[in-house]
Amino acid sequence: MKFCKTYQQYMQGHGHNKLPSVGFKNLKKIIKSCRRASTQPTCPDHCPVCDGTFFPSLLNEMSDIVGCFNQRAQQLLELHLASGFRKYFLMLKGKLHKNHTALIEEGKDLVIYALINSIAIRKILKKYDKIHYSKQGQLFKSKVQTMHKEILQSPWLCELIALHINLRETKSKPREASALFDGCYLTFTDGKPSLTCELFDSVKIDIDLTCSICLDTVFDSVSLTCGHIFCYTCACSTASVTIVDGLKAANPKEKCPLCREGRVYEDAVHLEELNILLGRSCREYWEQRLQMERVERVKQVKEHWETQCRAFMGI
Amino acid sequence: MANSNLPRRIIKETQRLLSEPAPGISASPSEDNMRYFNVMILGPTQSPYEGGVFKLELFLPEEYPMAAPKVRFLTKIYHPNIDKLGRICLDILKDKWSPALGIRTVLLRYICLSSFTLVDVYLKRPIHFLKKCSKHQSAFQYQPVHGFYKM
Repeated sequence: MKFCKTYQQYMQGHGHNKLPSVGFKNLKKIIKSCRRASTQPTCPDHCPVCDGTFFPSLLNEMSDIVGCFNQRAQQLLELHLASGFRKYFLMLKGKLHKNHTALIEEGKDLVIYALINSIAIRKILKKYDKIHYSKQGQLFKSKVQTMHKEILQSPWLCELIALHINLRETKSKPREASALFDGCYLTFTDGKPSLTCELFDSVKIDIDLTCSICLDTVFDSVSLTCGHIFCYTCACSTASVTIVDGLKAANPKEKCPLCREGRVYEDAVHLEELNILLGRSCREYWEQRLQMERVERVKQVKEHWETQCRAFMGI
Repeated sequence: MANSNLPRRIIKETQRLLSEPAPGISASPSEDNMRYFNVMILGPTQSPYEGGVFKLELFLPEEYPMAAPKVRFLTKIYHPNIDKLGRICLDILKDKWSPALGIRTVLLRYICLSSFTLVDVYLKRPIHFLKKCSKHQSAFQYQPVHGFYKM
């Protein structure tokens, strides 16, 4: 079956009519009209059809998809991670009516939604490049990544995959898998962990969970706005801030160590679900790191308060 | 001695350098100081340094990986990016340093630097370059053949 049909069936069949999606047919029509309009075999650098219709409409759709996905993922994670008074408050609000299985299903649906949309976007851009004999599609993709409109860059995707594994492992009876979904799992290749998620047609994404600063498994993981994952302490030292001040205090000029993008620290996301998953999967390492981090944090807190006291006393 | 409370990162990098050495690079830490590395780089093929063996010293400062490693050529070399003391002008060792880079990356960049930058100089000023090569011949103990160092 062609991907276009699979995609449309998925979006209609899963009650996702209300959710934003890629207008596959509409975008294909735009590409075809552009091909008819231009007499040259290749699309010029400034094609009025592409510049004025195709890319802006695709960008809007991508923005809607990412926005919707992030919002729904945050809500779902909030429900799962809520504890104490917060849980009671959500119960009163009527938000916490979902049981364990419903949470798993919704988490799985959101992961599929993210992946199938990323495939749809990739396919339509490939088609664009094929028809126009150009690399404009690739350029657009990299431009979108810098704008953080790429769904696979979203830190919530990583969190949802971790949530799915966490819930599945604590669940008693396994349910039949979706036709589209082959599952998510945490794998260790040569001792290096990664989150793997498989979709139909052997489409697979791997999220590396090795911190590129300490070269160890990420501990107390944090995802920067560019989508790169680091240990919290490593991210703090890269951003030249103390653990006490936190990443919010980072200078906007500080860049991501991997992609050198600026302004990535202030809106960094703490990956709580991933921490729960890794804490369970590699207990010995987690305990060891916990002790090391504790020592480091105590040291930094002492230094912080000493400087605060000195400043207060005017020394 | 800098071996006490050596960061795990340095230990991991050292282990990887010894177990999976990069092509044309041999790097081993000093016995008395694990932050000091003795490096040997083979002159890249199809470059004016082909056949040459170059000794470098690499030191990891206390702030590493937040600060770049200090690298210096011990073998005398003629290169537009390397001064008389063997200090290298390389972006990733200055303002472009990132803690995500490592010893391996830095050394591989050196090989790239000697492969590409000097070829241009050699093509632009062959006579000047050959003179320089013969001047440095004693430092390498190699026979320069058409400006390429041969053992």
